[in-house]
Formats: sequence, structure tokens, C-alpha cells
Amino acid sequence: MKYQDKLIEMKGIITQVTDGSVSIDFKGRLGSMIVPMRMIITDYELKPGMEIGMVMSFPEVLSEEIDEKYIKNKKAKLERCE
Amino acid sequence: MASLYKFPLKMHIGAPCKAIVKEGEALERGQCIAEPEGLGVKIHTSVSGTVDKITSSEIIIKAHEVQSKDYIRIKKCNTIKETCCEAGIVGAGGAGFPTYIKLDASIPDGYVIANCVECEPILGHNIAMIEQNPEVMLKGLQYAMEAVNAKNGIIAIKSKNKKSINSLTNSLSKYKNIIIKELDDIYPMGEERAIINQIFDKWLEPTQLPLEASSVVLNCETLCNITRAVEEGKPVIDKDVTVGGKLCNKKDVNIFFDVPIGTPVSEMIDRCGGIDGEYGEILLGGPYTGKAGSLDSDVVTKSLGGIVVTIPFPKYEGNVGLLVCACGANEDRLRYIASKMGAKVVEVLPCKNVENIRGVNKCKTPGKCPGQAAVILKFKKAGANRLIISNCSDCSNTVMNSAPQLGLGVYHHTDHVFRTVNHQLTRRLK
Amino acid sequence: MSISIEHIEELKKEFAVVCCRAEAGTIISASNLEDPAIFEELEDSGLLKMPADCLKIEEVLGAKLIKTIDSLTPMTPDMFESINKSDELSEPNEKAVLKYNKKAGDIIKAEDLENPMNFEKLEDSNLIKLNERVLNREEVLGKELIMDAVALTPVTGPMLKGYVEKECNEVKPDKKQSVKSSVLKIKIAEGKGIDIEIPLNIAGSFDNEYECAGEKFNADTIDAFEVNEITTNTTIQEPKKLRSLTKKYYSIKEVKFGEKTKIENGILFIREDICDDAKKGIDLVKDIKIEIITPDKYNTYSETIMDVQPIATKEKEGKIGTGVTRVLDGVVVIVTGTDENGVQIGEFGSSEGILEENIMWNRPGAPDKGEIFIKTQVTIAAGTNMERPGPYAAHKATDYITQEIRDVLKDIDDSSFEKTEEFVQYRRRGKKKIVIVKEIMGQGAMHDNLILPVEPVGVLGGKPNVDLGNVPVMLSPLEVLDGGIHALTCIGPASKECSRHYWREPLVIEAMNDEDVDLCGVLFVGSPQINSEKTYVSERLGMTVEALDVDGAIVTTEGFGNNHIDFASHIEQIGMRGIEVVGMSFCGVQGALVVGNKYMKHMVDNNKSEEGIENEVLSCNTLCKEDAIRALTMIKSALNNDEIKVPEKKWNPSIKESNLNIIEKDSGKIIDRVLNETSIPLSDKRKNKKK
Repeated sequence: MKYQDKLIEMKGIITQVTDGSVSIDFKGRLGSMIVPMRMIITDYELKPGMEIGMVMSFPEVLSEEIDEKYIKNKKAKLERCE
Repeated sequence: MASLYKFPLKMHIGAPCKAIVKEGEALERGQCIAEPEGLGVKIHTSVSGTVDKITSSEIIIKAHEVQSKDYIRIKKCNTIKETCCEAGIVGAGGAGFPTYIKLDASIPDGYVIANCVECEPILGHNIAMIEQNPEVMLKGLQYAMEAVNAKNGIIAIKSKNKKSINSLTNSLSKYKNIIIKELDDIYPMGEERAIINQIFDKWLEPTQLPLEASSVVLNCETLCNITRAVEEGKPVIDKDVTVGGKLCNKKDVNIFFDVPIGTPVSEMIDRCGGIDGEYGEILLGGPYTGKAGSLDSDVVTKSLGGIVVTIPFPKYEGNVGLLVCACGANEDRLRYIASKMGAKVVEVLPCKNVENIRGVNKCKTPGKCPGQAAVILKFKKAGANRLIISNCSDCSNTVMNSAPQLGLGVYHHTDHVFRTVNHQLTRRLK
Repeated sequence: MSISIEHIEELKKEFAVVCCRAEAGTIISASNLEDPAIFEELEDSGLLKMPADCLKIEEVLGAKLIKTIDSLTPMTPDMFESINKSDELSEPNEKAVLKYNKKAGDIIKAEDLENPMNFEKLEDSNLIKLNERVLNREEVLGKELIMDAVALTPVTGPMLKGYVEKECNEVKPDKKQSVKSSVLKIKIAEGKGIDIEIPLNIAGSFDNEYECAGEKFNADTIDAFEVNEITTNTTIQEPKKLRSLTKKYYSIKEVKFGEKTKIENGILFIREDICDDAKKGIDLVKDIKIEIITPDKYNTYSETIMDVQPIATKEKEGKIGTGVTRVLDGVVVIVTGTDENGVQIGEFGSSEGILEENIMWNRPGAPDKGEIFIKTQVTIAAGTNMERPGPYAAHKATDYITQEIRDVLKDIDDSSFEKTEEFVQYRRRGKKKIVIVKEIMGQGAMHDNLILPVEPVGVLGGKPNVDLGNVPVMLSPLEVLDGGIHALTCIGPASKECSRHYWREPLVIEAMNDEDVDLCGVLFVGSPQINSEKTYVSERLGMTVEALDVDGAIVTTEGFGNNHIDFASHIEQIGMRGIEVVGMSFCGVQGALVVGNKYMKHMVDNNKSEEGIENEVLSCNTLCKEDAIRALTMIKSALNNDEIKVPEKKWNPSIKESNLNIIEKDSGKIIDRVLNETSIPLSDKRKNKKK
């Protein structure tokens, strides 16, 4: 990765809390994210509307290669559903 | 500041100088106080003051309380060689050979080699100087090249001194025909003939001078002194010194630039907080070639680069053999160490590579061992239980391959110095 | 940021770097120094380069600068008028050799000892001989010499005042008996002409007998001395058998659907319409399918594997952790599932895909290669995949099927079990007492575990640790190995511990069978979501462990994330009570610990992946036998006060290998290394990378 040291402080709002996951919308219309409970560090009981902060860099595309495993699994799943 | 400064009349190879001042005479820093009679160079006072006393071997000057960095400049000379003679420049690395004589040559196809090898462990003032201000040395090298009409200059330096090499490389673009030659870190890489062997891959006979390889070898600090003399008219009155060992400030290595010559060794030690507890000796010079000095009488001279306060010698009241090598301590020095340890000397033998040239031991191939087994057997026959050796890295390695197997214990004459500063002992090469 | 005065004591061996510009003449104090915790980052980003002669914090505190230096400059000796040298003893376990010529009556100080760096050369030169009679540096510190000794003399016992020669040879364990070490303390503050004789069989008053030669004191040399600990190997105490567990194995060669569930001649028949009943009464479960995966079908697609479970049942209403358990060999239950929208249960880093590309075979928690899978695929109500009842329902529906198999397993004739295995729990009084603390997830939903169900890895009767408030619950090692934990945890496939993991937990097995330690139990503690709850739980853990009065503890956790906060806190709570702790977790590169404290000095990394990441291969980075051996060796070393080296700054997998090599060399046993993801079929992506 070329830009991993370009750290940006991100703020976001917790939009949904389930028993297993937390959904977050980043402020500034910068996207959203769902993470497992155990990846959230908190001093308070989680509630929608709470603000979160984190440091992020930009997602960088590592190469033009396609992850064949992903495509294969997606196909396999579709076939099963049919 | 000490008030009494001593200037030995012999700070170089050759005859002692003759004092040209009188007791009671007032002097300014930089003023010439002695002139050579025969081989030698002028001596200048490093302090302003009055002549306190003149003896057959030294001039003692009582310094004024307040001293200035300024000095009396030497007279303008026509050639670089003359300037060197006038400024009293001698080899600053140890032997003190008058520089103007080295420069009395013309080697249009030859080389001036800057000896930046500083091969004695602990000593660090040359490398520090190059790191901080490589220009002074580089200019000096250029002046020396000019003096002997040499087209090429070579800087010989140990490859481990990365920072200094970087610093040199950065400045080198301004200088034509100067290259850097990196050498390994073993003793005695800095010996003139060892350097020449490393660079040109040929051994000079012990009787030959570097000139026969169309080269002139000059120490780093000597080159700096040439620059100072040529550009600023400064005589050799200040010296760079490394002080190390068992000191109260707990620093293994203390580097001092521009210490006035004649400063008592005791004052240099005081500047490091004094001696920390019991000590073995005050070693003047480096661990390999240095000699025991005296706290009361020794002073910083033109060629004294190192002062090391060592731990006490280990006691050993048994029979020892002394293996004398030209690269390290001579017989006197080994006998001194043996006596300090309380040991009885039963045999003294030279390494078979030693040649005595005009009273000085020279090694035929410094840093390349001729084999030691025969000598070790003789020691064993003479009843020695342990040896004290003064060999270089390579020869010590060879000794270690035979002596312990024959049941002989082996001290190297540098052990107590290296044990003081937690440096690797000289034994087998890895 | 500068470091605080409170921390300075802990940090004194770290490098000294100024945090802000410091003028010549400054006397260095804590406020001038940069926090060493960030050095690594600074070095990585090129802001900081440590020179070889960089000073330590203890060397510069109170020292006066003679140069002005800019921020983030590492301090070197040339910047100071003088520096401090620590008079503390370094390398305490190296041999003691005098540096100076010493006289009788001299007290040996740290500075009087020769630097061990040159021992090899001095020995090589015949100047010193370092054998086992030569004492260690820490043993001679502060002791008084009773004879003159010259420099370079190795220090042995008889040279020191008040030294007591240990004539007692180590007692060899007598066949099956193990040996206890006890301490006989004698402290004589002052005295003359004291004769102390210890009879050979002093232990009449004890239950067991001494086996030790007499201790000899030379009373003349006793004056006032502090050499007052004589450690002898004395009593021999039999390990006490607490309980045992027998697992009987019935080998299954084939699994088929049939009219009714039954086991016949090595064939397991599963009732064709069982799924209809399995979903009955569980509203959330919309559909359930069973697939029988034989080895030739390993290359088929599967949804995310939520759990791997053994099929086992208690004989005659027995309780988990004791008595007899009947086990079906060669077959496992695998729970998978999605919601009605096809979203995986636990949709983060799922391991759905081709089975054989996503399973690290033969890990404790994974299927073994060659086994038949009874794989359920549970469909739960749309959107409940992240609600706690969702994953629970999937497990419950699957357990309905397993229970029907358990019921027929109970009825099989006893003679048809071809293999039995006995697990015995011993207490070994007199050995170092240790407890295993296993942190399990308790953040909710698929971060939950059922503790102690009625049947091995069952659902009925099991209490979710989330509902128990995640507080510590003690299980016997046998309860753990008998399916006492039903794991609902289902994120991070490579590092989560499936139910089968506990069923064959290698650390519990190794510790239970290790004759050098006394394993008192396995304490399970949940990892709650909120920091204050984490602290609450962790403090309870500390109190529990304190009350157990153990010498050492091994703390494990699974996966990574905020559970590392309580993992660190557990270690701190135990460590601050003077108990030695070893921590075990997946860390590698990706799971580097979020927080740390000074008690986290003995750590074992469970990573096996090549790159040190959560590679989505089931169980790849979970605790294996080789990790268990390392952790046990480490806790034993810590309890023996052996030096454990500080790890390197960056993750370096070769440390693990070199530790295993050391253990092999010491024990003379070969430790099998488990394989990692490079041993399973390469997915196309990885194939491409190789090219």
C-alpha cells in the first residue's frame, strides 16, 4: 500500500445496534460500515445516535487481479439458489 | 584552567628542538618557542603567559588567567612544504614524523593517502572530526596532493564508519581525483604499510617508505593541520584528544577538539570528572601502541591522541612468556605489564615476522600472520604457564589456535584496557 | 508527548529521546523525554533513527546537557557533561567472575563483576574456567569474600562467607512418584558457635519421607548472614486422583437417510423427515436442510461454518465431566446458516465457499480430514441474523437433530464400542499450582457461549455466559473436555474456538497431564461489550484467582478486537497479585494487541498463517498442541525465575520456531508442527499470486 500513512480522522454516527453488529454512517456522506460488536471499543452502552471516531486511510486497490475465490463462491451460491 | 603548561622539546621523530626563549620572557599564544637543530619542526606556545622554566627537555610556561582563542600567525611561506615546517606540523597519529619531510617528494603518478582509519579502538576524535567537518581534512588532502604533485588522493577509512563516509561522500563532489577506499575493521589496518597493502595489494619491505609505492600517507588530523596552516597561518598549538576509561562521568569515550598542547593529562581527566576509584594505569595513546603515562608529568603533545584510565591489572604470580610483536606493545611495555601483574618473566620471544629497523620493531606484513606454533612451543619449554602477547588481530587468532591447546593461558596486552570499556577482547577472529 | 513521573521507574531501561527541543544546560527530567511506546511508529515513519550508542532513560535522568538538541533526537553520551551508570546488576544469570583483585572481607558489588561478553574468549584463553560450581552473578551480589581473590577469578561458594554447601544431589523422581520441592528456611541474625544438624529423616512429622543427605553448616563462619534459603528436594507426594472421564468411541463408516434414526453396523441412519420436526416450535427457523458430506464432496460449496460439534452423549444420565461419554467417531455435526434473504449468519469475514479451501483440517476445533459431516443449513427469519435469538435458533434446531442421534447412541449395546479413552484429573499438591483462564466471547448474539449443557455440546440446560453477566465460572478440566462449552461464537473463522475445540482443548489436556504442575481448574470468563463491564468482570476474575492461591495462570482468548482489552486487564489483575501469568492469543500482524501493561511479559501467539492475518480458513489460527507446550514451558520458566527474553518490536514468526526448538532440545521430544493454509488446495487467487 502506498498511502497507508495518510491517516484521516473520521467521525460517524451509530445508526443501528443489533446483538451482533454495529452500523455506522460516516459524517460528510463518506459512506457506511457494519462491524462486529467486538471490534467496537466503548465505555458506554451502545445506542443509535452515538458518535464514534476512528482513524482511517483510503481504501487502495492492490492490483487489477480479481479474487477468483470470491467470484467462484458467488457463482456457486447462485447455482444452489436456483 | 591549569596554570602551568609544559612543552617537551621532542614531540617528533628526530633531534630535540632548542629553546629560543628565555625564562621570564612574556609570550603570546602561537609564538615560536623552540627551533629544530637537524631533523625536526618548530614548537609554538599554545597559551599566552611567561616562561616559567626551561630544562634540557622541556619549556614550562605559566599561562595568564584569561586566554584567547586567537594566536600569532606564522609567516607567509612560498610553498606548502615550508608552511608545514614553519607551522610545526608532525604526524598527529602517533609517531610524530615531520610532515614537511614526507612532502619533500614529487610523485606525479602517485597518491596521497589520507589515513582516516583510526585503527586503535576507543580513539574516536578523527572519525568525529570527519563526520562534523569533512572539508578541513579534504582541503588538507588537496594541499598535500599539490605539494607532491600527485594527481590522485585516496581516503582510507573503515567501512564501519558509515556516518563519516556519508559525510565525506556528500562533500566529495567539489574535489577532483579523490576517492574513498573502505577497509575492514581489524587491527592494524591503520599502519601505513597495511594501508598500502590494502589499496595496492602489495607489501612494502619494512625498510621501505610508502614513497616507494609512489604514495605519501598522512593522518587525518595532520591534513587538517595543513589546511589550518595554509589558510589561517595557524601553527600546531591545539590537538584533538579522546579521553576514556574509568572516569567519574561514566562516559566510556570523551572527545575534545582543540585542546591546547601542553595541557596536563591530569587536567584532561579532571574535565571528565576525574578517575573513578582504583585504576591500573594512565594509558597514553591507543590500547595497542600506547604506553603508561604519569598523572603528574605527562601533557598533551602534538602526537598524543588518546588518554585511557584503565582498571587495575589482574594479579598473576606465576611464570609468563612475552610474545613481542611489532604491531603492538614492545618488550618494555610487555615487561611493564608483567611486573604490574606480579608475574615472573621466563622467556621473551619476538614474533618471527618482526624486523628491527634502526631500533624500531617493524612487522613484515602487518595484519597478516606468519604462523606462531614454533614460538609457542619454545615458551612451553621455557616453563611459561601463561603468555602475554602483543599481536595484531590476525596473529592473535593464530596464537589462540595453539597456545591454549598446550595448556598455556593467554593474555593480550590490551585486555585490561578493553575490559575497562567493555570492548571485545583481541583473540580469535570470528 | 512526554512521559509521566509515575511511569519513569518502569521505563528506565528504555532509550532516551527528547520530546521537545532542549537547550544546552537543561537538566534532563521525565518531562524532557518522549514516551518509548511510540518509538516503533516513529522509526517506521523515518522520524527517528536510534544510534548504536543511544543512552537509556536511567542514564540521562538528572544529567546536564552540553548541547542544544532538537525534538526527537536520541540522546548520546557526547551531549552530556556526565551520565549515570546503573549500579543494578545486569545479566543476573550469567556466571560471576571477579573484575578486580579483591581482598578477604570485601563485599561483592555489581561493578566488581566481569562483563560476561568476553567469557568465551577468556575461557578459550585458559584464563578462567566456568563450571557448575561457579555461582551466578545474582547469587554473589552483596556477599562477603572470605579469602583474597585476584581479578578474573570465578566466584564459587567456598569463597563466600556464610555459604552453605549443598551436598544433596537432586532426587530423581522414583518411577511413578513425583517429587515435591519444599523450602527449609533458616535465618540466623547473629550467632557464634552454632551447630545445626538436620537429621536425615526429619520428615517423621510429615506424611512422607525425606530423601536427602544432611546439610552441613560450618558454624565458625556464621556470624550474621542472610544466606538463609536452602531449597531442597525433599518430600514425595502422590498425585491425588480427583475424578475420571471415559470416552467410548463407536466408529461410523457411513451416514444415510432412512425411515428412522438408528445406528446399525457402523451405519448412521438419519430420519428423512427429521427436519420438519427440528424446526417445529422455533418460530425463527424457516427452513432447515441436512447435507451429508463425505470426503469426495469436500470440494462442494457451503455457507459459513458456524460451528463444528462432536456427536456424544452421557451414559446413564451421567453428568458432564465424569463417568462415561459415548462418542460417534468419524462423523461431526457442522452448523451453517443464512437468513431468508441469503445473508450469512455472522456476515463478517465469513468462510463460505468450497469446503476444502476453507477448513484447516485436524485443528482441535475443525473437522479431521476423512470425517463425514452432517451439515445443517438453517434458514432463519429475514434480518435476524444479527439478533441474538437468530444464531441461537440455528444452533437449537441443529441440536434437535443431534439429540435424536444421541438418543439412539445411548441404546447401542456396550460391546460394540471398539475404542475407549480415559481422562484422569489429578491434583498434584506440592507442584506449582496453576489455573487456566479461558476468555470466551460475551458481547452478544454470535459472541456467546452456552456453559454446561446437559449433554456434551448440547443446548438444553446450558447457560449463556452473556446472561450470567460474563463473570468467571469454574469448570473442571474434564468438564471442558466433555463438551461443557457449546460455542455460539461465529465470527473470525480462523481464530474462533468452535465447540469441538473445547472438546479437545490442547492446553487443558497438556496442563492436566503435565506432572510438573498442579492444574486446579479452568476458569471461563466472558468478554462483555462495554469497558466498565469489562473492568467489573476482570476484577472478579482477579479476586477469584487470588482466592485460589495459585502460583501461575495461563490466560487465553479467541479472535481479536475489544476482547483484547479485557484480556490485558485479566493479565494485569492476576499479575498485580504477584502471580506469574502467560497470555495466549492470536496476534500475528492483524491482531496486534490494542492495549498492554507491564504484566504482559509472557505472551504466546497462536498465529499459524503465513502472513499473520485472519485468513478466513476455519480454525487456522487457534490454539494447538504446540502452542500449549510453549505456554506451559513459559509459565514453568517464569515460575522458576528463568529469564524470558523481551520480544522483538515487530511480529516475527521465527521466534515461535526457535522456542519450539529450545523445548525440543531440552526435553528430547519431537514436537509435531501443525500445517497452515499453504497445505490446503489453493484458491485460484492464491494460485495466481504464486505465479
